[in-house]
Amino acid sequence: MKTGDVPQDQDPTFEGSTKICYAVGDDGQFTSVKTSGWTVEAEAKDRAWKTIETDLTATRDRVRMGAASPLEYFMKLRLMDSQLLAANMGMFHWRVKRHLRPRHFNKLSDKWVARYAQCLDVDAVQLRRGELT
Amino acid sequence: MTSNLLRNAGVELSEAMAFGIGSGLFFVHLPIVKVMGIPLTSYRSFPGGIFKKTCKRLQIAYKYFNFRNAMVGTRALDELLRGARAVGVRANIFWLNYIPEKFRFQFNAHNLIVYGREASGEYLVSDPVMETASQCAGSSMTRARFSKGPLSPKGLLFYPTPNGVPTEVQLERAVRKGIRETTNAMLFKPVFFSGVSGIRYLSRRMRKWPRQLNDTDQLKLFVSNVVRMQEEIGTGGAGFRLLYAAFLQEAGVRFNQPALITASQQLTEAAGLWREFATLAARFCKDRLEGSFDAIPDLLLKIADSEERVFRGLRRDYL
Repeated sequence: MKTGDVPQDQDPTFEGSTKICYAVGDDGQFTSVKTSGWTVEAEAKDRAWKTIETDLTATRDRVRMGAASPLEYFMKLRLMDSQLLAANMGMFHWRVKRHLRPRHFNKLSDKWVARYAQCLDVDAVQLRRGELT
Repeated sequence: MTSNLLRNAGVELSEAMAFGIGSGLFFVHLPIVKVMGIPLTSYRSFPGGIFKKTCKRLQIAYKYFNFRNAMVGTRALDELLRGARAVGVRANIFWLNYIPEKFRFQFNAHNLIVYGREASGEYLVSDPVMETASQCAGSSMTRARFSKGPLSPKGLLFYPTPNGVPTEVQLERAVRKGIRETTNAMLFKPVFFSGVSGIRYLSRRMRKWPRQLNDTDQLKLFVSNVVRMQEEIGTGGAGFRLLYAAFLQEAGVRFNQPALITASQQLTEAAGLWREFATLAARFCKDRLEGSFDAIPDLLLKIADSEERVFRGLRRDYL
């Protein structure tokens, strides 16, 4: 890539800053160049986030209908899956999967809800009551 | 990051040289391992490996600690910082509050440098993802350092303890070792999903994706994920290939090795092909691809050939 070809596409996810890439100058030597973004990269990132957001919206609706537990929503909000959540909680996977089901989640003690809340960095009351952000 | 840590300890080494000596360049496509439901693709060696290998190859001592307990681990970091030392830290990037939202994924092997702690408890951080130095809340840092799950950081701390500056002879030897490992990794690892074979493997798998994945959205997600690994994670662009080409050129000039300069030019061409691949993939995802989807995996084969030439050339003319 030549220094003149380094894209400066003002990727909004960079929040105003730039990142470094390497390009060849006119003298044939490599140099580091700041780039404000490349649309190709921005679009790929955008697609990944849209997928996450779509899933979150769908989960939100399912929680409202009672088909999913608030735990599932907040877990996804933190970009975790049940396996990762289990690892972070130090629990067996099958137990976390069980707790994810609304029927079992609703029976959890405050102590358990508090533990999940701490792990997911959410408010315990919000988690218990299903006050989704 | 390795370069910054070494500089802080009095050893000047550019980012490119550290990357090359530490054998950072790699490729692997491992569909069995899924990251957020998508097959794993990586363009570099495992995070943290570069620091260790660079130090070892330059005969620089280093300290490497991990902790089972967050309190002990935090105390240890604070103590090191009081000694005015910059420390390498491994953490889960998701929990670092100074990182822009769209860059925060669950990834336990993110490395950064912490160089101080304010009275308010905020850590002073130099993170490779960020353009300028940042501040990280104490609780956020602790949570990130002790996150669990695969590749958990366990509060890992590391820093070099050099005893003088490496000589030119040591540097050249280190460069040779670094290139040898990368060349072997790309050409000779006996697994089909890594190295140049890995690029071809990805090509074969990608060809099947339109049929295997019923959903166009999922197909686009898979394709764009490869691009993300290449450009978002790949420092310097084109999945680290430009950074490695910069290394080859710097080493070639410094040690007067024309073979390295030739390899640098060839790898720069390969990097151009990777960028072209990303552009085609982006066009496909926007439904603006002229021609068949197969053009994308076909280009991967061309890239594999191109990279193979680079590494065989290095083996033949330099090693």
